Amino acid sequence: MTTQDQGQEPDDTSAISRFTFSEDWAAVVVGLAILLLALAGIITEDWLIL
Amino acid sequence: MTHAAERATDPGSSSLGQGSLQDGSRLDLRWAIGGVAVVLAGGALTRYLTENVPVWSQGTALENLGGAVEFPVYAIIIGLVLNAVLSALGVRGRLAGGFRTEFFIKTGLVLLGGTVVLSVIVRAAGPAIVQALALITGVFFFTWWVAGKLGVDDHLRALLASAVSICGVSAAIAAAGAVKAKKEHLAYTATLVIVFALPSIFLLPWLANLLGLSDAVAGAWIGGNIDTTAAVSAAGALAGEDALQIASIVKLTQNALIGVVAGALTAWFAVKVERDANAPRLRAVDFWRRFPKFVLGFIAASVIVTVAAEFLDAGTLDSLDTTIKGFRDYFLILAFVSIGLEFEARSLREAGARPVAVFGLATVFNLVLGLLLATVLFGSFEV
Repeated sequence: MTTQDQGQEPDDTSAISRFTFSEDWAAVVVGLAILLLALAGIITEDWLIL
Repeated sequence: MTHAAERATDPGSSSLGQGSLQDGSRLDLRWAIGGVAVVLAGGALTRYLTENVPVWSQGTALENLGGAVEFPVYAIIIGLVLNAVLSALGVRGRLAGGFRTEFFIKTGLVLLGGTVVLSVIVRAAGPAIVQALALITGVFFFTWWVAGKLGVDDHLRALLASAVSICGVSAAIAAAGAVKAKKEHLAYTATLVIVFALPSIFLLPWLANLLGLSDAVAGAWIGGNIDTTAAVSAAGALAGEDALQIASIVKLTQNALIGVVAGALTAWFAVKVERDANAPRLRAVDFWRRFPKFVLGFIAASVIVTVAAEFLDAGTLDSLDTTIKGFRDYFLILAFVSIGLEFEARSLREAGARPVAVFGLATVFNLVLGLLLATVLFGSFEV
């Protein structure tokens, strides 16, 4: 760490934890939505145009 | 996830326009969308090269190489090149809000669950849990001990030990919240994870092949050793489809134990390290809050497809499998491009050599113990 960092009060990183784990639910929703749409035959691999 | 840590330490990020992330850092939505566009462009180039390089190299001296290089290699290299270009232009820090490695990899892993038959998860869960408990305990305390011998700060020790023993940046973030580490420690640990993970992606599949390991043992070794989940998927993909499945199950088992380790760290730091008599008591909801929910998505996807397979004809099932794998690989590609884009060497120079030595020694210990456990626990496993 730099000299500047020494002596600083520890920053609270728990907010970063909360944000990171909120992405979990987004991934679950998107992943399962794609799976169910594929299962219903609505989307196929051809949708991956990019 | 290093972007979260990076934004927290990037002086330029605090003055960015409107909008606020839940981590407290400021974000300009236009730059974030630009960041996502960069990742998508990198992903498109990766897919283009993956499809065309084998064709272009046919009949040349590079035919074997061109046919052997797979999408994780292109994606990470493209991410690193884009990283260098955007850094030179001075815009990478602002665009970092769109480099959502964790979202991309977790979505890819939920979809991966849709390609793994439930019976494989059930059969692999036992040895995976035993391996995870032995590896996490052994590697955590070895790293804690080595870091103490080298005089590393207690908070950084906790982050390094969690990162190398559980699942890289995710574990470091959970541990950072548990022990109230500095954001600089988190950014530094996240960088170390990526520095060690990048060569491991290529080294471990190569070593597994050299040692003649079975797909299951190779997958368990890769899943138990490489710290970050995205890199495990990349190495597993290079080692083969069966190895990828086992590597993912082993890694997800370790991921699932984040909450337990973070809870234990919170209690340990309050009672033993900082001796804080006023520290709040841990509640069951704290463990649930830290539990990685995408593990549930992975299992749910496997259950859905396993049940659906009972009712679908072979042609429909093949088509479904192709679609799911296509989307899975697409999200994995976006995650690998993001890994390259997030790589940050600056904080390594700031922290000095001792934590690097700790991480290096812990990684070697992890490799040896992991190989031993994978061989014993997965030696007779059939995917």
